[in-house]
Amino acid sequence: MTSSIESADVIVCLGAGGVGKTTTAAAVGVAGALAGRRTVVLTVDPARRLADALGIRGDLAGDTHTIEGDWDGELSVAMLDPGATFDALIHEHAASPEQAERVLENRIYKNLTSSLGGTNEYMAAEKLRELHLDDRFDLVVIDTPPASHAIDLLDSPGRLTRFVDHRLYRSILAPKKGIFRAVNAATQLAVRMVSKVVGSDLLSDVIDFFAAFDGMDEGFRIRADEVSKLLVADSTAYVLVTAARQTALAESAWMVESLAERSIALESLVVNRLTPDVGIGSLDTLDADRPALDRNLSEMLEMRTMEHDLIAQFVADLKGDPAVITVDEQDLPVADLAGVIAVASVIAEQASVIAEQA
Amino acid sequence: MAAFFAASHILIVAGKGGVGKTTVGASLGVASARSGLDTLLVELEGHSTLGRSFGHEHLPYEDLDLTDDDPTTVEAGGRLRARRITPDDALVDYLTGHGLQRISGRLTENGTIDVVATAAPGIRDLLALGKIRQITAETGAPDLIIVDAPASGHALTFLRAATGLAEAGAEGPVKEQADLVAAMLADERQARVMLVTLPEETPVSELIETAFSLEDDVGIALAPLVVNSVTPSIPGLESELKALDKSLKKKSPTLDHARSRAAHHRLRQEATQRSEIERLTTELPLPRIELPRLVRAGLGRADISALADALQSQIDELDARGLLGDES
Ligand SMILES: Nc1ncnc2c1ncn2[C@@H]1O[C@H](COP(=O)(O)OP(=O)(O)O)[C@@H](O)[C@H]1O
Ligand SMILES: [Mg+2]
Repeated sequence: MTSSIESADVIVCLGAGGVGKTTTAAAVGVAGALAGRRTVVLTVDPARRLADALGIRGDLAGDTHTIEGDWDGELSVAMLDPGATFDALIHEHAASPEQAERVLENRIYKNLTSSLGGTNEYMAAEKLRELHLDDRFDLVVIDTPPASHAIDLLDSPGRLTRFVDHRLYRSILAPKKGIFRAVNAATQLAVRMVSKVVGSDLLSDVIDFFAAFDGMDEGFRIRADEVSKLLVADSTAYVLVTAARQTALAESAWMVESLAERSIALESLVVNRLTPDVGIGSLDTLDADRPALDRNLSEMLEMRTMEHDLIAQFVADLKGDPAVITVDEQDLPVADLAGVIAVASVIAEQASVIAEQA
Repeated sequence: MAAFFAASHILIVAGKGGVGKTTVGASLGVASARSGLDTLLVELEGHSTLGRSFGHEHLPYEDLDLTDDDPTTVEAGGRLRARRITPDDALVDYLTGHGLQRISGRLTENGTIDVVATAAPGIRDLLALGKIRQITAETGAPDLIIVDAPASGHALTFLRAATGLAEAGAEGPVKEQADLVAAMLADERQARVMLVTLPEETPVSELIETAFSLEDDVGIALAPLVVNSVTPSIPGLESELKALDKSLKKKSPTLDHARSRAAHHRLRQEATQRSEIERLTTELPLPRIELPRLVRAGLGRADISALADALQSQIDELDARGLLGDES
């Protein structure tokens, strides 16, 4: 992690919902600023109090916002606004403002961010590219949408282009274009069948959408390729955040696998919210005069041991050799900059120990 | 008890990813079966861990019996089954049932259905809900179907699918299906939703938003809220800690420092949780069930059984206080 904090262009934080992805992304961003880099953190769904504390709510969505602090580098945060990012893409690729308007007003387009799986992930990746190309920053840390998996992010550029490129679309537009006049009969049949099942109103909305989009697909394809390349670049590091719980680890294992399928190595594993270390490893005898204190203490020790065993097992089964960083659960939720800095220092400290050992 | 579970044919368990809704669903299933009902657990997500709670890696599309000689269930004459429902399977079932199986092959084959599903969001969700509705109408239908809903905000999209499609101008078979499903969801004898959260900021806020949207947009009845993984308080901890901290010096034994730090951590956590639960109760005054955080890093069947007991006793208690309304 030290190496990526010091040298990566992009750090992607992945993980199951609620494990602390957003918190970790913010902490890694702070670690970057402390290491002297001009860092920007793209958050997706910060807890409300944290967002308030960092000043990234409401009208600031989409823009970057500088956070002052005691670091050599710089720290900015931005909050992802998938809808606005998508709109900007349409404006950029449309041949004319009129075409952009037609697409933006189409009912199907309006639903696309929620209906087409992976669209939020793609917008995160698109915004990532924009920040990466921005001269003000040399490290971009991104948080990923909740409930999204490694594959959703990595496959997202392809999914959108596959959608706008679908042969149903070509077939619908075919009659208007000379070369396609030899209409694909099978697909025309499919169109009729669809109309039979969902009705012609919905179908005509689909046709309008594709018609409005006509000609923009090439630009989208080229852009999606660029975004894909950035996601798999050597200078992009992947950090997987997990909890030391069976269900979270099962999901994490699946994410590591899907990264491996795309030949992406996991650079670090952050195990977050461990039952905190209280300075001793075990309790031999319980003090009968302090039953409550010792019941609590022994529960915590037992829990921490179980968590460590689970992590050890998980790491042993892992292909590859990521840096394993553990972050104890803080006494209070991480809801302000001070809390984020506390987590950042835990991460930075362990990362530098690991770097020294290597 | 049986009255609570028998109050509707379908109970949909919903919540943000990671709050433990699958665990709660599994525990509800066990409790319902123990109350003597023929209970079917349904998983909708490809990667749901519902099966794993019962020692099965994956659930099949056909029923899997999980009664497993549970003595209470057997004695009460109940039964527990589980299965998976995927939209694609449901689509094929649906089209076949409407004499359209020739179409179904082609639609799924060339990916046309993907385009339609994207254009008409909710069609997959509608199909899954339609399939569940169909199960309730079959002969030999279970007394109660417990559905492990997709993680919210998707849960909202999921339950809004029917009304959304009807408004979007769907016609033909899809419109018919949407109307049937919308009516089913709005009928509290047919369906209820049980919202699950953790005693933490984001899941609580999300639950509140989801609850209001569900009432406004879907009109589905809300079962008691479930706050999962609440740190149980230990009687006497606070006073023992006070006494200890008074005597604590820099040079005190490490063990005493450990005792103190551990107790401070737990008490802060409990206080944070209590204030989140309080916010929940203020903003959403509904009957509430709290499930304890277990000292486990992963839950097995015995833990599910313990949680089922906890659910059962709290449902009985709400009932005794008359808080379950005419449901029971
Ligand atoms: N190490 C930690 N100690 C205490 N609370 C934490 C820690 N990490 C995260 N949290 C809290 O857990 C909740 C979920 O964290 P968040 O980063 O929003 O998760 P995600 O982005 O994975 O959904 C937040 O309320 C946050 O304050
Ligand atoms: Mg997040």
